[in-house]
Amino acid sequence: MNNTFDFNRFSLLLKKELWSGNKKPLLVAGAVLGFLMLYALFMIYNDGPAYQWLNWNLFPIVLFGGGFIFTSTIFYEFNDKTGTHNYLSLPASTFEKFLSKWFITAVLFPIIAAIVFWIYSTTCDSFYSSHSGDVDFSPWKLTDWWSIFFLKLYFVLQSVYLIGAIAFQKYTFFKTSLSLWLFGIITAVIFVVLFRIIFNEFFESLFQPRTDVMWITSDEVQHFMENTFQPMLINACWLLVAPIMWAVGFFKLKEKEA
Amino acid sequence: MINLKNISFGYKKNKPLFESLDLKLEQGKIYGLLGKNGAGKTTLMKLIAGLIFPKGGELDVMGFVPQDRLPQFLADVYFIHEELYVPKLKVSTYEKTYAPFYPNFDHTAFDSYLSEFGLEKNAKMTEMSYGQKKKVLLSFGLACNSRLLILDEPTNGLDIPSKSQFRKLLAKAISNERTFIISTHQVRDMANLIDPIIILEAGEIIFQENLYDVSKKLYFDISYRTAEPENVLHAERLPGAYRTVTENTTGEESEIELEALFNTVISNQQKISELFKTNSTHE
Repeated sequence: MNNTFDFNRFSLLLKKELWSGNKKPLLVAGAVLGFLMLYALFMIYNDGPAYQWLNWNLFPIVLFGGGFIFTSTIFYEFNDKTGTHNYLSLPASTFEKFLSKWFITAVLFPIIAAIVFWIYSTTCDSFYSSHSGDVDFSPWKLTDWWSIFFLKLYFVLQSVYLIGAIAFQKYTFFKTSLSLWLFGIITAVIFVVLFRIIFNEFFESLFQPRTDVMWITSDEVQHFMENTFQPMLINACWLLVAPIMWAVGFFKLKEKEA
Repeated sequence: MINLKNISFGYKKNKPLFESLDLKLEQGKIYGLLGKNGAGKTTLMKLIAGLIFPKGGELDVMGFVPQDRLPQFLADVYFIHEELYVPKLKVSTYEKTYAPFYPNFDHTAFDSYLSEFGLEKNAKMTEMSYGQKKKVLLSFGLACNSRLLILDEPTNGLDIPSKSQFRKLLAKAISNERTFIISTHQVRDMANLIDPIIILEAGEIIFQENLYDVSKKLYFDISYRTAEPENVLHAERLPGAYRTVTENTTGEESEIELEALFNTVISNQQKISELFKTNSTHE
């Protein structure tokens, strides 16, 4: 018997999560979607042109709002005083338990959210077209860069909420959001201060850059910075942050289980 | 089966609960774990189940180190806690969801245990009373066929007929391959079922004997007199009589009264230890 990963146990865990998981977030998501539908219909009938941009803005709200709240509750059994024993006694490895919860929140949720949102937007778009006669507007598309960007961002931020779900026992969503916000502020301040200290010679007052000094004197360096370094840095962030956070989450879970 | 060597554990750094705890348990028996509140019964059972980790010493349960929490080990241990946790599921869905994790789960036995307890499979577990939830989990735990079944206060919350049903089911479910550890304050509910008896006091095992040896060494009697009997190890006042526990000098067997045994051991630790010295190896 493989005590680290067994596909049969993993699928049993998925089944358990989907059947006996906390259904509250799904109910809330359903209620939110119902509300959105009504709101969209209200906009179509009262302020038609404004509807054209509605779904582009709603998609990240639904994806982030629903996904982060859902992720925050995924370890509810482990964080419950009486549920902890149930969670720990279940015959599956820590890796399988973590992977099943990761799969549901990081993979399954965005897929389901995108499908449901597509159904919603297609329905509302057809209402809009038939009501306003405007068949030329750009409806929300999953394949558009805007949607893809938010899906990528969901993947990165969700990994942080997964850590929060493990680390915090109560008010997980709010504590993770606050921690994320504080982390962002502190990182930005440190970055600005370090930047100012390192590149002191390029500034004439506190944050006023000197105009008589060239930051980059070589065209080659500038070309490298713009075409190689910057894209590399951005891609590294997209590709590495989430896996690093998942690894941190897994080890945090192992530590908390002990 | 279960071997604890030199185990130390404490919830707080400077307040150890167990220091050098040794214990050996054999398979095929229903161990009764008795002790006052805070003696460490639940902690000991949690250590055996791998829910908490010892600070020192060696712990071997069925060839596994419990703190590794390997799925293979967890599939062979079922622990029913005093504080129950049940998901928002029907009994039938609970069975479908959780039973596949236990390879030896017996669905037919589960159905028969439920019907003996008078429970419906389509009832929602969160809407059940404490006693009903306990009966579902007891049925599930017995049907798991895990080699080790740990029960913390199993009869708490059970009505009188259910207690008797539970005793019957437990006696039916025990086999040479299985071991049950039952911690209880309701010793009368467990009479004629638990054997051997382990008594834990302030983090130490002060008594571990089988009932045969107890009946050979101690004599339980009811003495119908008003004056407190003398030369007894323990005497408890009853209406118009005294229940006494004395050293068995004649070799005559008596019916063991677990509550009296417990009180005798607690109040005569030194004497009982000397009396049982010849076979008190905690084995």
